[in-house]
Amino acid sequence: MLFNSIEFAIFLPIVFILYWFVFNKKLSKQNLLLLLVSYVFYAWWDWRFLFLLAFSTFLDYFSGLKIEQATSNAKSKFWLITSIGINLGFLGFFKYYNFFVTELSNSLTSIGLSVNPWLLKIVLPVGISFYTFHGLSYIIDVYKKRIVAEKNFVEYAVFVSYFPLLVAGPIERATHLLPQVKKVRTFNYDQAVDGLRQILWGLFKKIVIADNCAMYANAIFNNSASHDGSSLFIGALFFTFQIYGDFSGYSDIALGASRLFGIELLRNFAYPYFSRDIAEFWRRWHISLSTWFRDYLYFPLGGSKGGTWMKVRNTFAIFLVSGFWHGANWTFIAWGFLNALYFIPLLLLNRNRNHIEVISTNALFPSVKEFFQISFTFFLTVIAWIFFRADSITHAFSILKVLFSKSFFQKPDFIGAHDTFYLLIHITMIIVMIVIEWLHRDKQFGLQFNQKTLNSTFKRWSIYTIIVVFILLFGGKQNNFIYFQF
Amino acid sequence: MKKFLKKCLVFLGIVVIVNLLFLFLLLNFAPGFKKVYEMSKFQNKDFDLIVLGNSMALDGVDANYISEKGIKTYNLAVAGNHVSTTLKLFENYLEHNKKPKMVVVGLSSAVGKSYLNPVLYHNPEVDFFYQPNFWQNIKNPPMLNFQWLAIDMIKILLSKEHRNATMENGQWRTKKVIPDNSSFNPNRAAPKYYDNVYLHKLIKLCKKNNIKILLVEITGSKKSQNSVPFVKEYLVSKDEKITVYNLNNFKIASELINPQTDWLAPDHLNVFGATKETQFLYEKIIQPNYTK
Repeated sequence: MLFNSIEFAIFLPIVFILYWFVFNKKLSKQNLLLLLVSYVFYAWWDWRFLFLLAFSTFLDYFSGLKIEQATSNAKSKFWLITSIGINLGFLGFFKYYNFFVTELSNSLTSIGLSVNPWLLKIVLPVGISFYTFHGLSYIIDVYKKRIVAEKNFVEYAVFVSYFPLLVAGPIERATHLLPQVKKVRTFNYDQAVDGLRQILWGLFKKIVIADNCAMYANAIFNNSASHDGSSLFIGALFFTFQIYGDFSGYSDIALGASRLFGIELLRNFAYPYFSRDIAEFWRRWHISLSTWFRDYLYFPLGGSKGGTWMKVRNTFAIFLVSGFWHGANWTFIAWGFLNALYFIPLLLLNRNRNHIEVISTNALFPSVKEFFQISFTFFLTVIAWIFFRADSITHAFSILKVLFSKSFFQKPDFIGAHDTFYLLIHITMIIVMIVIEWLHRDKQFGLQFNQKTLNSTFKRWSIYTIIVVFILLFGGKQNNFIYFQF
Repeated sequence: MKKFLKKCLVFLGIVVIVNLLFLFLLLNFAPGFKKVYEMSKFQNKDFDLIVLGNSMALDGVDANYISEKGIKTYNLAVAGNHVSTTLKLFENYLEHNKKPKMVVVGLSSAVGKSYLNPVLYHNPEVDFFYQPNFWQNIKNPPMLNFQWLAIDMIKILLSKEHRNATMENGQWRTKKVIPDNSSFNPNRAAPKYYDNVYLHKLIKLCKKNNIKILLVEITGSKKSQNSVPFVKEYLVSKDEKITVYNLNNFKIASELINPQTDWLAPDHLNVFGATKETQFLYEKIIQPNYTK
């Protein structure tokens, strides 16, 4: 069930009504409902993978209890390793098996040993990377005694499979979400209204920005050999906005939907394209994943406490693993590697925490310096996204070769291939998104108003109406969310 | 909670109202949409000749010209039609109006297999008026369903060329000129898919009602033209032959159409091109068959 589908538009109000009007008497009933509807939501794609989800949930629940009950460190370590091993085993099997086998087969072929490997012919269970990481964070936190093991299975299962975050995050922490699952929730008008606004803004970013940008980005990337440098750059720009609109739009819908049920999820995006350097970008892009890797990989490896070598090694480790987490393709690893290269100089010069606060607070426009910083950072991310979007490393380099050639300064040949009027509308929509998000850069999401910023009901409702009109009239062809494939 | 639910209902109400407003605007300012609506309401019309097809016929066959020659004509073609939709439109027309003497089906092999595509596809405008479905309208509200018409309306608002275009006797008439700078490809494949099941249902329907049916390939841009003879018979089944008149023949099209002045878009004739096309169509195909 896609967030941008009619099925979800029906599903969400039904669950909302059941949750607040039918199952509202008892917390345990509300949680049971959330679990059931989350499984229905998941089964909408493929009910067979429900067993995998349920097994993974039960494994971590059981391991958590065993770790807590363990009488020796060796026993608790055994359950930790068992749980991590099985979780990563499933993830590795479904997500990386074909990749490793194909790479091994290619290597053997290159030395004259021809093999015919057996490859998996099934789709990747949707959300497996996300719910596996939920479970891992829980198990590690129990092992590290940051939290106590959850005794109530239903509550734990809701933490893992809560439908707004089940298929593409945000990647929650037990310390943040479980206490909310266990607490009696009362309906909060402001929270619910804010949730609806966030859903609306997420739909705009997904349907109007991402789905339209996808059309141009696909047209250019799928025929990159026939385009000049300027067109390829435009293609990369469109992909840059596509992936932002797609994933931050998804996250906004997830967070907004969750607010309707009185549960706050972790913020996943904080206007990353307004970042002044790459370090700031990574504090603002897919925050729940970045902080996951920071807490469960970077810090355990020693973080930046050691010498220069350790800092560099650990930075490369988290960026490469983060890249590989996205998918079984060298392009994602290259994307991670490139981002590490961008990041290392800032780390070594101790300038990776220069920009913590919101940009240009109390000013309408950024300063000239900030503008150039933003533009440069944006340019670096555009180049990195080429690796993320390309079919292979060779493909990415072939694009970069043409992009950094004289043809970069030619009139883009891609323009003639599309209706100029539609193109202008779609570019206008991107500008609308940028302007709205810039104006609300100190807020949680682009459409978050308060009495101070917009106190006229008429103006607020006019904006909602305009956004609805934009979604309906200028929305692109329905596409799956990019991050569902991860 | 009550306040929240009330606001949700207001929001839902706004979505419904903007969609209704959009329909109102379409019916008044989107000529193609208005035409389909009017066609669905036709009663006791007595046209002698009906033109069927998709946008190539809609733009390219001048119903006024043929009417002026004494054959009362209406262009029933709709942009984006599949031949199955054409069949539906014509069946509906026959049900509520007087039988025409002749039907011209504008085929469009120039734009590939779209019109005679073996895989059926729907025309949302026709479905909206001819097969209203409440659930479909909820699933696909008018603003989403007719997005391209909104863009067309904005074009009408902004561009004089679009404002000056008219819908006359079902033909879309515009003086907009986009030159055809493409080149003829001598190896262009001959059209196929004449064995389309809906095309044959249409032929049978005409035969059953004693209506003369003419199948005409409408002229496309140079890159889409072919070398197929002007008149050609095709054996479409064991015992059935059909005759197709090919105005998309490179030689005929070169004599008839000026690539610099007669196109409004690739494969779509403007009013100047349509008049020339229709004159030829009338003299060489309609008149000889009509008087028989």
